Amino acid sequence: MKKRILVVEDNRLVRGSVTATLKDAGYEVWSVETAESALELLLELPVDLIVTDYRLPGMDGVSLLARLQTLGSTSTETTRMVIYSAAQKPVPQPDSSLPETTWIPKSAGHTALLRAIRGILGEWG
Amino acid sequence: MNAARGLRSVWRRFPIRGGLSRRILVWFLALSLAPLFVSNAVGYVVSRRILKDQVRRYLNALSEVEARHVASEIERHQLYLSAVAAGNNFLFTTVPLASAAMREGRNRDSTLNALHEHLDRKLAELHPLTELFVADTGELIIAATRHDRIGSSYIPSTERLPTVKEPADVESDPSHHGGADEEAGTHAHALAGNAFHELSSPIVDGDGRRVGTLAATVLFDRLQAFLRMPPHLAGDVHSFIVDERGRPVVISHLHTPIDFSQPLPSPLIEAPVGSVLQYVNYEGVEVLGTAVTVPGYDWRYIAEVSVASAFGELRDLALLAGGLQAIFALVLVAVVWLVAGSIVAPVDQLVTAAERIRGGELGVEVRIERDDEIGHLGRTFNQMSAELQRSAHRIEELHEQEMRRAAQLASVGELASGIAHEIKNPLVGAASGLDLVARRITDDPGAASIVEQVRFQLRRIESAIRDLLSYARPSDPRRARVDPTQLLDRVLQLIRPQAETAGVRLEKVVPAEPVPKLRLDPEQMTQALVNLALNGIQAMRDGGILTLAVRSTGDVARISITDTGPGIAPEEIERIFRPFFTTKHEGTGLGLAISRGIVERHGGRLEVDSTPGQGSTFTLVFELTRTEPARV
Repeated sequence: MKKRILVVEDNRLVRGSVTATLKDAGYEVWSVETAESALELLLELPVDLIVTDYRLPGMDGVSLLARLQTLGSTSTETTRMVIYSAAQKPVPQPDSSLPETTWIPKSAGHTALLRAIRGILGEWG
Repeated sequence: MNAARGLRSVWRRFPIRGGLSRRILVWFLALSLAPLFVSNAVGYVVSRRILKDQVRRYLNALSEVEARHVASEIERHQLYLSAVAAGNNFLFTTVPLASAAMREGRNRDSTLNALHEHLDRKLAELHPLTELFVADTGELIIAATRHDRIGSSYIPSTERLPTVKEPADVESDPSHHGGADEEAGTHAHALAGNAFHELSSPIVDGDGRRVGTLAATVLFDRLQAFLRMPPHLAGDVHSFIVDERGRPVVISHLHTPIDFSQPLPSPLIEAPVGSVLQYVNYEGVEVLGTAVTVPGYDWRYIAEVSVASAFGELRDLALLAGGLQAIFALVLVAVVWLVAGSIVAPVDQLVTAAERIRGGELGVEVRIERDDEIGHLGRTFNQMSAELQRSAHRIEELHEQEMRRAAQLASVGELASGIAHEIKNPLVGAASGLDLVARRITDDPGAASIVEQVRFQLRRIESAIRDLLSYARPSDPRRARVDPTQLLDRVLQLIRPQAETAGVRLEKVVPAEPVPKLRLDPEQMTQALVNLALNGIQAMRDGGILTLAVRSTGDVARISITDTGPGIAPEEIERIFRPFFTTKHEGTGLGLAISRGIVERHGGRLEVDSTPGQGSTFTLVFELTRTEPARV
């Protein structure tokens, strides 16, 4: 069964290209523009992994993760998170109790992103 | 009103205030007035002594002359009386007849009348005499006449003349001098408070026998005429002739309240002849007096002059001198005022001006139009003041420039930061899109290489924007304990690929002993060091050695990066840290500015030392106390 990935990205070009790259790689990919839309979608559609931009209009990527934690939905408990950020360094995370996230700078490119996702989802080594 | 204002302005121009003015004034007065006063005082004392001497000589001379005059006058009358007595046949023939008639009690009126008329005539000729007598040898007055009785009838008298004596040749017979009254030819008397003077001369017949005495009386009120001693001759000098007992015989000033029956109250009566004494006389006046003898008489001539009149002129002179001195002192004070003013006022002006400058006022000028040292001082002061003003203006200008530049930079930073953010998002999108394209066209090698080129160019844009952002929006250091040698290792690791490409050898120099850890933001400090190292590598286009070193001495830790490149020209040293300054065709020119910003935000400083042709050394200097060294 295809793993399902949700891409949260406001930059249309980035969203489109990342979605296409992930689909090319054989994943089922959904994409939304904002964290708010992501939360809405996640209520009905459990995903295996979320790739989100840190900077988003409204709620940011880290807050989105914290919010998912408080919702306590079983479908989201095991969701892994990849933050695909324009920033070079990880933004400090206020709460260390948050589940582990992987930080990948956008400058690293799709190859690095894909490699990280495969590492997390345990496919193709 | 105007005068008062003028005076005030003069006072302001020449203010006598401050210690300097007072000192000048005191010295002026001490050096000029004091000698003047001393010389005047000495002059007064000496003059007084000289004058006293003069007065003494004058008194002595006057007394001598007057005494001789008096003596000769008395003698003259005496001689005249003697001539009358001796040269007149009438007398020596008439006197015996008249005296016989008087003795016999017979009335021989004709003889007595004739004698009386004769005496009347003679008395009229001898007008200084008051009374004329004829007595016989038995000293009985047989005829007498007085001025107030001339022309009246003769009254014979049996009264004896009290003092009519045989006349003496006073000049030739000194035995008469100290003798009794009856031996003298001239006598002074005081009867019932009425002083008079009596002269006598013998009447002798052809055989030289004395037949009678011709005698005369002179009252004091006629003495002036008698002695021909005009008061004005004496002037302020009071003169007295006193007899052997000191009683006044003749006085120069008739209205002097004096008791003729008592000795004159003067020490000169007892004093040696010729001495000059200063004493208070019978009138209570302080006088200078002298006494001389009257030649031929047992009398003294005493002359007195009041001290006031003797030294009056000197006293006037002293007053005049005092007045002149007072005027001189006033003039001197005025002069000193002007002099001190002209010396002190400019100094005062300078002090005031200097105080104003100290108070922050600029461009203060003094107006001292003089050619001397003070004028020079004033001009120098003005130059100094102008120079100070220029410097202050220059500093202000530079400061303003700096402020403007800072403001400009700040706004440039804002702008740059805004632009960078605007660019960043599309850039990220483009890069992401390109990634997808690159994946899908792997079968077209030509397109793949172009995509790779586009990707490289996009990365350069991104890196430039990153530089711009980190310069325009520096973040505060997040400090941690960092071992400088580990920092160097990390930097070396990061720059190794570029160094190898450029043919640059890397060297690390660290001390044998452990280096104290520093509290630094490792990320930022790595960025700063990498910037510097890459600059060094880029400077060595033909290869070379890049040395990274750590040194720690005392409280200072130094991290240095030395290249063997062409070095930096001295005129460029100042500019290399300016943002956007670059000698390279690539890069933003922000690397050094960012590095310096990072070092300074850590409380350190970035030093550069360069020798053109030999290379440059950039040194990060951290004072351990400032960079909060780790507590180990």
